[in-house]
Amino acid sequence: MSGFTPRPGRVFSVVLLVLIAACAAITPYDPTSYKNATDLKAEALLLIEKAKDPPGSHPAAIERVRLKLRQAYEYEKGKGDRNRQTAEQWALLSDSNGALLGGFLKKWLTENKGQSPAFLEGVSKNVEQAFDEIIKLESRKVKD
Amino acid sequence: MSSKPSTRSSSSRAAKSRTEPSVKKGAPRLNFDRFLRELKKRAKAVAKQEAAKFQKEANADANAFLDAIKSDLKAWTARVADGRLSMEDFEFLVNGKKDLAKMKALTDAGLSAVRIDRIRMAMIELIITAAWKLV
Repeated sequence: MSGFTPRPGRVFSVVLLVLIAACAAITPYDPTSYKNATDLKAEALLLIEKAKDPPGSHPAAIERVRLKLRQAYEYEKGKGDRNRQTAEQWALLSDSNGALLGGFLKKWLTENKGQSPAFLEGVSKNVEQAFDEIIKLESRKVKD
Repeated sequence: MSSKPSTRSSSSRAAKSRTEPSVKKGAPRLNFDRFLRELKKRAKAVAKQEAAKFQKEANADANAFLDAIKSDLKAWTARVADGRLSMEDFEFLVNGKKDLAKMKALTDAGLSAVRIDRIRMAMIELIITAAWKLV
């Protein structure tokens, strides 16, 4: 019986194929990221419900959500360029000059008054959908 | 397969390298050309299947997103008309939809990358399976 022919070109092709296959385009699924997003979604939606009151009635809850938003963003940003999409999603969600959660908190604090039910209903819907986008992407990432 | 012995006599070393090199007895023999052909065929099929799946999902997703925006804009316009929503708040909500569209674009970009990773993983499996089959 003759043996396997280890020619350099062939070996190179196999190594190349394996290398190509090993270089992931995006970070894998991270249960911590998933939990951060789902936990903060619930907390943020509860806070939005409370925004019918002036912000002075809920200072601790507001600060807690702002801190968690910042922490989640830093966590995702820390994973590097292969996690760019998720990090940018958190940046959009928490941007105080935007019109999602960060922007809503700024508006509520700046106006320093309770918000209308119709407005809160709309904000709640937008923020919920924004979290759902983050959760959807994370949950579909490849599991190790 | 280039395993035929060379007829050129000018370079006996080159000719030797084109024929079967000395290998250990009992080692498995791999038909490499057949292996690559098989791999290419299967990789093409996997990529085609993934692309079709992705296209279908992306279309359904985009339609659902646009329907949701349309329905919200309609409801908010009615609330501005009956005075339950201020123009300033309406504007904030519409800008929220713009931000959401950016979020969705990022999700789509991320999901494309996930698809690429899945194809890569399928390729690894193909390499291993094809190699074992052809040894």
